[in-house]
Amino acid sequence: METIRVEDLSKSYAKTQALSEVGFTARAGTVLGLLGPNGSGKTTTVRVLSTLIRADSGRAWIDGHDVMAQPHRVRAAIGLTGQYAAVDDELSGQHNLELIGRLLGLSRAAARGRATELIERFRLEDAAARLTKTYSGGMRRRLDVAASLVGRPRVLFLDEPTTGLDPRSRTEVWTLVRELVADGVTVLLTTQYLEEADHLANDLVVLDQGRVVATGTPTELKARVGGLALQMRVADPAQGAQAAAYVAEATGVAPGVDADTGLIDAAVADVTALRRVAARLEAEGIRFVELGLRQATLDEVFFALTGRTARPADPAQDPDPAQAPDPAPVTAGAAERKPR
Amino acid sequence: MSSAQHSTPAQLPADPGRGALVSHTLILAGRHLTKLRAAPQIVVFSVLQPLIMMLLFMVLFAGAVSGSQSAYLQFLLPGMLAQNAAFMVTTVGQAINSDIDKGIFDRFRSLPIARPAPLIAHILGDLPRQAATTLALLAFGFCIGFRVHTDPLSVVLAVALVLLVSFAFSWIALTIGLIADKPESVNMLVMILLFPMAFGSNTMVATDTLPGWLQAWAKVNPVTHLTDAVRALLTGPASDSGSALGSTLLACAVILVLFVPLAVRAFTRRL
Ligand SMILES: Nc1ncnc2c1ncn2[C@@H]1O[C@H](COP(=O)(O)OP(=O)(O)OP(=O)(O)O)[C@@H](O)[C@H]1O
Ligand SMILES: [Mg+2]
Repeated sequence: METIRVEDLSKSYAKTQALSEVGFTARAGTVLGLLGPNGSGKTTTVRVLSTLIRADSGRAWIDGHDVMAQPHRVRAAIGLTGQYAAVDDELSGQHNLELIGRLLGLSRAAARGRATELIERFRLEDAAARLTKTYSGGMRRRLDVAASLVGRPRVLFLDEPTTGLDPRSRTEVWTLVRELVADGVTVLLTTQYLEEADHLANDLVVLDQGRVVATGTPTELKARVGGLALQMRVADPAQGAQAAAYVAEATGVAPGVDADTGLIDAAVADVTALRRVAARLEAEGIRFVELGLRQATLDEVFFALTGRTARPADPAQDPDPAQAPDPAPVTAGAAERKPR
Repeated sequence: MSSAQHSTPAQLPADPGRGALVSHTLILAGRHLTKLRAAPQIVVFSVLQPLIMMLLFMVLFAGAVSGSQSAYLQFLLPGMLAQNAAFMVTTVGQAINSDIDKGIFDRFRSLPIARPAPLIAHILGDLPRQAATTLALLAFGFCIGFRVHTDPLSVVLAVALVLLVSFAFSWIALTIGLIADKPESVNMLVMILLFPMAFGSNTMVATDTLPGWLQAWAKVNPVTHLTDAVRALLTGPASDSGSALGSTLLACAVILVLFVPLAVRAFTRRL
């Protein structure tokens, strides 16, 4: 069953067409990832679906309720974590959550109980009584996500929920999303972190300049743009340039070379390029520590679809640099690629 | 989290239901009380500015207006209470603007609650602080020699009247808070609007000593009527307050008729 259904949503502001005929659906109990660069319309989509703004045209249903015609029912079904933490600085974490609980019709005692439960779940016990203006960015973010869960929503909107979180908190949010989904909650998550979309989303909608440029599962999208990349690293960094030249010769494209890690990365059509490179390296006596094929990353998919990279990667986001390679070009236009 | 606790779509009401506006407004106004209780020093800060101004005026104008400082205080304090009804509402505009700015309003608006509740809560929620500020100013006046020459009931009426006017002024500040693009501009805009009310009045000197054009303004200025009413109610004779009281109530009605719809429009337009 579709829990989120969006048809032809358009929304324009004075100068910008924020959304044009955006449409997608999300099945119950799945994570839909809304992926797109800055200004592509992710937040606008979330704001329309959470009844904060009206679209100029088009329709949308949340859990069967029409977003335009039955906003109150929609509000009763959803939880919203906006792009910027919406907590009251002058209240404690506990009070922030209690306030939401009371507004949702819980008794004083029930609101307190629910707040305490969420405070524990988000590891904020030590800070619960403190004013939130003393919280770190990550703590605020966690409290903000907690606030959107007070009402046990059936549909949860998370607009860039892990932006600014340290890797540990980010992993916790991921775990939480998986738990919620296991409970039958449908999650719409926007992100600029392709890795995050890859980890969490069952389905992806890629937005660019207010338009849907692709939809599908992460695997489908990766397969669609051609799919493979050769990745290698030589034992002696001094031989890096030489090795890169062999790769260029064998594949026909200039590979990306990471100055820090020495990682050489190039899009390839099939496995024969790998064989040619391996044979050449062996003939020249160049030792390598890594040589293989991998599936294209979402970064590359993203670049291929939108012609630009996602936001510059946050170093803290990459537990192992080797696993988050440079967004190597999959299509022509490599020269336009902005350096990280 | 168990899915058994999710309400099914069929059970969800189509609108907030009766009584929701009152209860949601009270819950949201309670947020301001929680803050006041956590930081009662807020009152000290909001009373500091009128206190300093009052002392300054006493030093500057006592000689020119009434001869002695104690006689001038009798004249000045009711005016300060009235003037402060305008000054102390700035916070209402700032608070709502910062709620919008920080996205707190978006969170409220994404909840199944009565739509105007967050708006009205900002007005009601600030009233306790305004009351505390007014009482603190009055109490300070007593300490430096102000004396009431009427009865307790008149004093209560005077304070109530000040708060009624600050309630009406709150809607002006609220409207500005909804229109202003950022919290910093709220202060300035509120001042531009309320400054003529606060100073173009008989707060510090009698109306007939003002230049002609200013007299014309002072005579329609609600702060002038409030000052007249509060003066009569505190320093007597209380029976003289009648017409000033009527004019003050009328002024409040006019402000509310103008600014409640304006605020509601700004609210629905902006959000
Ligand atoms: N209130 C507004 N007034 C004018 N333009 C707006 C408004 N809100 C959004 N826009 C414009 O609409 C477009 C889409 O914005 P939106 O916030 O949805 O993008 P986004 O994908 O969430 O971007 P980001 O990754 O930066 O958060 C942008 O060009 C933005 O400037
Ligand atoms: Mg956004």
